[in-house]
Amino acid sequence: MMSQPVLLDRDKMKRAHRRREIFASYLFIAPYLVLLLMFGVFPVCYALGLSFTDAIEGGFYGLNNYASAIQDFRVPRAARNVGGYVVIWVLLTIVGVTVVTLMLDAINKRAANVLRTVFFLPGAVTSSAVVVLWLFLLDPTVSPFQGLYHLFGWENRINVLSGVGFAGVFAVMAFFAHSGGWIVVLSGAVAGLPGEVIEAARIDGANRWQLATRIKVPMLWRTIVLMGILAVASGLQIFVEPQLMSLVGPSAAQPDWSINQLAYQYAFAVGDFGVSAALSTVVLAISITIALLLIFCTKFYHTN
Amino acid sequence: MLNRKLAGLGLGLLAGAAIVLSATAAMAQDRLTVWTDVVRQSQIEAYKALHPEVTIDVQTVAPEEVVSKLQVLMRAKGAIPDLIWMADSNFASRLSTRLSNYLMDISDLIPQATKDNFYNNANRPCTINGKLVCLRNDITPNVIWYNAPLLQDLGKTVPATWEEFEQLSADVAALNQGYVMGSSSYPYTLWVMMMSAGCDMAVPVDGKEDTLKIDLSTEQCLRPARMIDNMIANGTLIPEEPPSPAFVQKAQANKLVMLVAPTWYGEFVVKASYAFAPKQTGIAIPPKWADQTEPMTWSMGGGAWGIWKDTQVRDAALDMLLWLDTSNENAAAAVTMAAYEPASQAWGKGINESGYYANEDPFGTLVESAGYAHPGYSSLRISVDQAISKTFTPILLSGGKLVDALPGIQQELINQAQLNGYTVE
Amino acid sequence: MSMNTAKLSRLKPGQFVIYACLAFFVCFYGIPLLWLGIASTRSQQSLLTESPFALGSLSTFLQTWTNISSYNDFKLMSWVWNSVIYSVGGVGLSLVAAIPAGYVLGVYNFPGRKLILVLTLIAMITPSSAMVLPIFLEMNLIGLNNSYLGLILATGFFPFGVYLAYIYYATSMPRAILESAQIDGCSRIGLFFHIALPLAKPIVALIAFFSFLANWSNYFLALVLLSDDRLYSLPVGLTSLISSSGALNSGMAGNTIPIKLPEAIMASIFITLPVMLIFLISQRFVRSGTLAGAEKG
Repeated sequence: MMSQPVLLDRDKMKRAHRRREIFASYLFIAPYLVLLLMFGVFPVCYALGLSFTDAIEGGFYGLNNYASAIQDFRVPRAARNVGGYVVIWVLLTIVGVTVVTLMLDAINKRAANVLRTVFFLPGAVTSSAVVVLWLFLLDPTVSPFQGLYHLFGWENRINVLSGVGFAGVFAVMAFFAHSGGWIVVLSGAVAGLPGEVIEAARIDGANRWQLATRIKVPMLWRTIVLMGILAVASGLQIFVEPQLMSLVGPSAAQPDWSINQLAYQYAFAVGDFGVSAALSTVVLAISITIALLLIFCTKFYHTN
Repeated sequence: MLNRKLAGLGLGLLAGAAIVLSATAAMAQDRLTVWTDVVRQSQIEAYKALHPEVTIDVQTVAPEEVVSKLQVLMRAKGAIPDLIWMADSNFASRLSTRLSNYLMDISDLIPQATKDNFYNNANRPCTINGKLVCLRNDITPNVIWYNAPLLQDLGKTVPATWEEFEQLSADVAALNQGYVMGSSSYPYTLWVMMMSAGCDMAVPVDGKEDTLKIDLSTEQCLRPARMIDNMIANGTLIPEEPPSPAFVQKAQANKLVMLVAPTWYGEFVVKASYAFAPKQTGIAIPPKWADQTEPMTWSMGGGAWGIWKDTQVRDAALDMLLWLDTSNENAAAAVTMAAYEPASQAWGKGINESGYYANEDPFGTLVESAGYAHPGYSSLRISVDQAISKTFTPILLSGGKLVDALPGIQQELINQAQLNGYTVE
Repeated sequence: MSMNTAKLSRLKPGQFVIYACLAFFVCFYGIPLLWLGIASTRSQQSLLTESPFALGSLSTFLQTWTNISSYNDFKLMSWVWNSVIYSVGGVGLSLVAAIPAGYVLGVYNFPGRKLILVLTLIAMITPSSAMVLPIFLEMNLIGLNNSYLGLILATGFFPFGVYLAYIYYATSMPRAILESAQIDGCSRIGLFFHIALPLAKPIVALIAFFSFLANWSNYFLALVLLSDDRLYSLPVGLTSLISSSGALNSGMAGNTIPIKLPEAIMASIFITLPVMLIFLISQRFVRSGTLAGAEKG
């Protein structure tokens, strides 16, 4: 007779405790949750809503905005540009970062640290400083790399731009700014590799080349794949690099080179927020698909 | 005695009331928000000093961000400015569409006498479908800037026709000294030459709303294109852009014979970058084609001030707009040639008295060329310069000709025009 | 020892390739930065016509400095201060939001946790300019656009920081301590303040570093949210100044503003230098911290 109420009580207490725990969890996460709703969830929903809205009358517009976006003669061109850029940029990142990281691993630790810092520093050059820098870097008459350009027979800026190709130039610009960070991350992963395995391989007579390609790269593939996927997602959003070209001069201006630039133009030059939102939604959907693939294939959210 | 005292008191009260009333009226009415660029900030400050009764809220906005910031504000019904500076002549048409309807129609608010005092065709870029939606601040017709001592050494004179211009280019090219007469990749240079013969490269059709004439297959287009191709072939048009380091090096090496460029090139490019010595720079009116009675000169740049159509302080904004565009005191301090003829005189005086130019009356030459301003220079929602460079640059680099690029440029222009809601003829 | 030398001699060509490649990359990353530093001592004419590595002079450098500092009451300096306020505010808010959120997500299980994590990761991977307009409308609605607070709030949302904190707590929080403390009747709040927070030092540095980098260089959002030039951040103000004066595109520069190429270059150094200094100071933290994150990935 007596034991049952006690049990109930304990149950109740347990449930009350659980409720308190949930409450406490949400209390901790509340500030972030508010920000997430305000600046993450709401803007996406709003943009999605805009893409189905008539920009002038404000009513429901069905898929008309998407239709106008597809009929825009610049869209296929921009899609091709972005596709080409993503391929170059991702290959450059994966190959460049992996090679440099493994090479740094093969030299003196102190020197490697200094070099990593040098490689990391260009990330500090941002916003208008990027334009100022590349304005000079791309012009064979004043560029510190002029010797290299002359080797290819490029004598002026448009020679360089068309010689390398815009996609290539933008990929190099992005690589210059962002690869240093990835080199540091990948170096961290290399340092975390189990020493015994590498030591065993070394004793078995593997040279550095074999060590790098047969042992280290396979052990690092997760980080490398992650890097590749993030590079694809950010590459699809390319906006700043082509947008900056107009500051370099009218013959190099590329105001409608990428899809995001078209979305920007629709909203901020034409005032058609509907078509703009439709274009952004498409780019966002592709990026989110990639993000979800990444999240669920690698089980990022798991706590061990 | 008492009466007079009372009367005095009454008067005093009245005066006091009047002051209070007018003060509140001023506070209620004249609060203006003005958007300017950094260059014209001092002009706003000058107006402020002259008109302490008006409260002016000045905001400096980067020239190319004006349209985008307005789009966002109009969408959010936020703090929309009453008066704006538009550095790009295309802004007027971008801000007069159904989707972004910002500019006020001031056709009936500006006295006819004032309108008549603007230079020939100066307000064409402010006229959208027959309505005047802004007033031009400065004009930029193209003229010939030439290296006077070099021309003399070469035993040549300034060409009066494009035919002579082309002949001159052939002559100096034959000397094999690397002489330069312009840029082959700079879209504005090409555009200026193309328009000189009356080519219909996206020109609005009078009397038809939102209609553009685009036809690059006519002789008026082929003739200048052939000239450009010949000058590229003989090496006097070089692929570097006039402001680029390579071009500057050519100019400083005394290789630049002449350049067709807008009014402000003298002060800000020739003097500042090319570092021509005093009396080295000559100015001449732009060439005409032999069968034309007078030249037709294209422009490059020149801004305008415009008013918000829903402003609550229309009269104050209008007063300020007129002061900025037409007052002598403002134009004298301005850095470029005013579009309002009487006001431009003060600026011209400074140019003539500087003694920098080789001519006796350089300002007179600028005024004369302003009289030949092309009637088709207007505000468009498409970008002709981009159509030119996007289509022609790759062809140029692979050794092709502008004549062969014309159909591609025409198609790009038609596509852009249709996308932006124009009817194409 | 003998084996080592044998190995060395065998690896010589390989070693040569490694050093040559690394030297190439040092040039690729280093030369532009070196050039930027030297260029600030050169005059407009020198920049346009002399060799890329021509040295300028101290007097040119000082002249450029005078042009910048005397122009418009040295407004540039007030933009620098604004940027400091925005960055410090944004970093502070992102830390206040991210550390407890990362702690709870990493250590406890509660309904909605997985959803929040997935949303966070999506937000982290897909930044987009499409968000800018809705954020502007939202801020306008609550009257926070064109204010310090508005931009700070918007930049305080930093999902990458939450992700870093989450990984850190999920992997390196000693579970034994947590459990024993819980048995001792320590509340979650107590646990957080007594154990989790003191442990968070390296992750605080790491989040602050990345958040500062993002805030300091934030351009697009700041551009749209701020319309008063007294509130401009350095990147917005500088871009506006450079584009008004036509410093980079003298083909469009019909004005007498003393902001030309040398001034634009010096101003670029203004933007770049603080980040570089922070890179150098915090590189050890960042290296050890990213390590924790990378192992997980």
